Amino acid sequence: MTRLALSGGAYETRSVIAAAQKCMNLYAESLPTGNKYTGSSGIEEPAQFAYYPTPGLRRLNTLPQNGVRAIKQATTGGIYAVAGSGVYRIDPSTWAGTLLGSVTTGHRTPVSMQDNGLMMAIVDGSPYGWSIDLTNDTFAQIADPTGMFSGADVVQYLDTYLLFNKPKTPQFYSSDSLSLKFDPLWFANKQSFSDLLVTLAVAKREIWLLGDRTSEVWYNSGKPDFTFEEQPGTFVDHGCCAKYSAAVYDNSVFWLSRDRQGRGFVIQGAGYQTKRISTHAIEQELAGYETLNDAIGFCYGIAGHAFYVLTFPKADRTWVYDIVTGLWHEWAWIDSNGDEHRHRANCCYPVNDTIVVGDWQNGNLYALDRNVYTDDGQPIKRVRAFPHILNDGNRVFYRQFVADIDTGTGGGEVIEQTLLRTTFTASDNTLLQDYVFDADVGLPWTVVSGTAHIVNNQLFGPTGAAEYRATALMAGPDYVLTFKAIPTDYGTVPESVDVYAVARSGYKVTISADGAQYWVQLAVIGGVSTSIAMGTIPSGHYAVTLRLQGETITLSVQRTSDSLWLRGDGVWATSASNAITVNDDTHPAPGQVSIGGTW
Amino acid sequence: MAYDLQLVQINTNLGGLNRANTAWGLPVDTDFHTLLMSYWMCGPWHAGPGTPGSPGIWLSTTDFIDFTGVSSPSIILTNQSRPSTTPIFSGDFPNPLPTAPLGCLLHFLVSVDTHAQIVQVYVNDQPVTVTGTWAGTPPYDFNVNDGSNVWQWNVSGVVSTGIHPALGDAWITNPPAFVDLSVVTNRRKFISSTYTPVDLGDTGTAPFGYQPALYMSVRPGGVPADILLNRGVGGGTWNVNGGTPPSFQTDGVCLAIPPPPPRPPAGLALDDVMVRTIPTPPCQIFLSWSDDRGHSYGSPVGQPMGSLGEYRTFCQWARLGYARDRIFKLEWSCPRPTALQGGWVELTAAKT
Repeated sequence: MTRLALSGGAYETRSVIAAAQKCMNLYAESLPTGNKYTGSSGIEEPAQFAYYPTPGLRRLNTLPQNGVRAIKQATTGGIYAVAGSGVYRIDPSTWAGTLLGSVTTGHRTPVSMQDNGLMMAIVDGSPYGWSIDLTNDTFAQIADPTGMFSGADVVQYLDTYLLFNKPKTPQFYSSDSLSLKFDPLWFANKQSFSDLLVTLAVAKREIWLLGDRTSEVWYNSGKPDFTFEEQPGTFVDHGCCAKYSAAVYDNSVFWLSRDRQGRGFVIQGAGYQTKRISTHAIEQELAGYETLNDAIGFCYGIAGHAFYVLTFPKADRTWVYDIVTGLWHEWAWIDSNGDEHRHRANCCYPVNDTIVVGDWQNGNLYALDRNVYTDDGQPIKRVRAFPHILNDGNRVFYRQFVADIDTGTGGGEVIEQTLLRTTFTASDNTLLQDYVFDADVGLPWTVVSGTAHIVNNQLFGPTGAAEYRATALMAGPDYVLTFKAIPTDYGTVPESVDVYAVARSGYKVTISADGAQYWVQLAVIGGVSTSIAMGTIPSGHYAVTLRLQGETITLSVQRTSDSLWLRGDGVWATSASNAITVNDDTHPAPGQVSIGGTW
Repeated sequence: MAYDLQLVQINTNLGGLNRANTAWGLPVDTDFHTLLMSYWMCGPWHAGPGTPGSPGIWLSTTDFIDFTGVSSPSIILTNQSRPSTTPIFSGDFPNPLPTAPLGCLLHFLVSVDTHAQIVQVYVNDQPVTVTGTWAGTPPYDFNVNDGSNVWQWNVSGVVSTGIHPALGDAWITNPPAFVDLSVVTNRRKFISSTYTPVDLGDTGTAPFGYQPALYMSVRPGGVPADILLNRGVGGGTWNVNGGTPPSFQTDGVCLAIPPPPPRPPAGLALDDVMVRTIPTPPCQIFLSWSDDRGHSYGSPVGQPMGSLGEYRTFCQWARLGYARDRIFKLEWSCPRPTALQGGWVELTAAKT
């Protein structure tokens, strides 16, 4: 058979008859060839490239407000994020957010954060700025009696100074050294050309002032008053068309360009030189977008690859440039209809050993994880289209096609199986420890504490508390536990009663009543717990489902009186949804299943 | 035929089981297949006619069912409007009948198939064997609508004004078919006056021995109007002997209907605890191809990627047709580590 080699990245040309190479959610890695790596031709691998899956998303936690706009770990170790208008301190173990304060409300564009070792400065493109005292997390609006501080789109750090662009002017300005105070004379204009300053980036201790049409490089010359000066001879004839597209990796600055001739190149600037890294295929793709100005860029590195990620919110697409291989791929998130959208990541920062990204739409924080093959449970579609096959214009009969792909690496390990089923089909007052029923699975139940009996084919009472443990063994840690919680009197909400089930010996779901309404609670035994009020129910029951898959524990509740589902905000909705989701690794083992209640 | 209880009610008031048939327009004059009756009576049985003062009541329904005494209550079914005519069936209940606690009610469910000549009787949902004799040859002309006679149930030998609709209903089937009461669901297809399903069994929401709910037939696919037409008045009041209608006449003890069972205290019950595995989906990879130079692709064709450890799995697609310019495309979404290195293709070039 003839090998169909793959070598490039995503390359779909203006006319697909030239090239239609789709490369989605796969990145290429070159393999040893004789000439390049070994100097000999004797041990070359048969394929030139292998295409590996892009990392998946493992949810860490959810911030209360939607749209994560920035995530940053301060140089002192503290983790901070902005979601919606809320500025949060992030717990490094639970990834839960504590609200510190608010930036301008109503914006969804990226927020820039940078610290100087003492203070974290936050700017959001408005005329205002905020600071966090890194010693005690005190949040405050930046107050500058000199009037120099006038807000910024971006804040960067260089040589103890915090640098800000002054929006819609050619100016940038700096704070005092190791301070968030300002000197009214510490500013300068981008000066080599008359265009406005769009954004700035610091790489290799130099400031790249990216203008509307052109760019220039400044450095710390140490001169009195304003310490920065333009580096002579470094004028760059490429400006920037999207202020949030600039990102830095190593000594390179990446951005989406606009210059005096056109726009839409992706540029890599390094060592006073610029290089066009976009291909014709990428450029023709970008040319079809309604706008490029909203592009958001960031870089991340994983497994020897460094990627420049460029997301176009309005076009709903994300493209990624592999800085190491120079190849592009598309990074897409698939909705439940199978439609492709921009990737969920809106911002990115490495926190300790985890690359954390924030969701553009909701408050989720995720880890980018090479060993996760879903986007927080949502399948990731990998697509690779091959080059055209032509035989001098003659027709070709295709006898067979074989994919050169790694197989047998997973899937089908666990079959669908009922490990436990208890219907409580027994005459009244049968004690649960005496309960047997041939059609059930996984009996008997053993007493942990107290006793409970069966009434009306349900576990109910008598007065007091009881807990039972299932003797059925769980085959693995991933399983789904379901049960029904049934009020025995719909006219009266009881008080101080509950029923519950425990999975993995550590995740407890409780339905309780307080005399006024019913509640659901998911508790990590030895950890956090979350409760939601459920109101009352006129008939039927609450159908509770606890799904344990890896570190993701999800709880959903449906009430059968009207088939609505409980949402996390306590509202009952028609579409199926999870009420509570917890990411937790406290109880990774299969453990045991228990049930109990207070009657 | 497989029969799903499909009934047309003759009349909500058994005491007026007569001319109302005209309004229903039933072809009962020519033939009827099954007569179904559901009614409640007090127990235990009276010792017999003319023995006042004994607890309970004594019933005689001379037109349809005749309980002629505790020793040998019988069913008599006539094919004419007068009880004096020859019955088409005359039969006896076993002795003794099931008993109900003093002052409680027994539920009778009777199905009579005149074609197959079957009589089924269930008392308190328990089958009761009726032995008897059929006369003549079916089909029987069951003339209800003669306009001159009143079909009645006799209570204690006294022609009453009938059993209150709260206490009984009767139906014939339409289309003609047999309502087989040995099928449990056929004994259960009743609803109460509040339209809620009623289980006639002794574990249902209206247990035997307790004040009966109002029962009525439900035709499959019936519309609310049917329910309203067939609905009785519900409840039911019992009077001592000689009281004003509805005069379900008793010697008085039947009034001692026990109070409803105590409701369980308000609380939460746990039910249907289940644990299921989360199956790992078997993985597939899909191949599609474009023969129009990349403008469109055909339907993807899947191949298994093997379960864990099946490293020798070969993802192969055969007999792929011919094309002048082809682009292959691979797609997969399995949550597993994969690596794609390209592919192989076996092809034969044509001369044109």
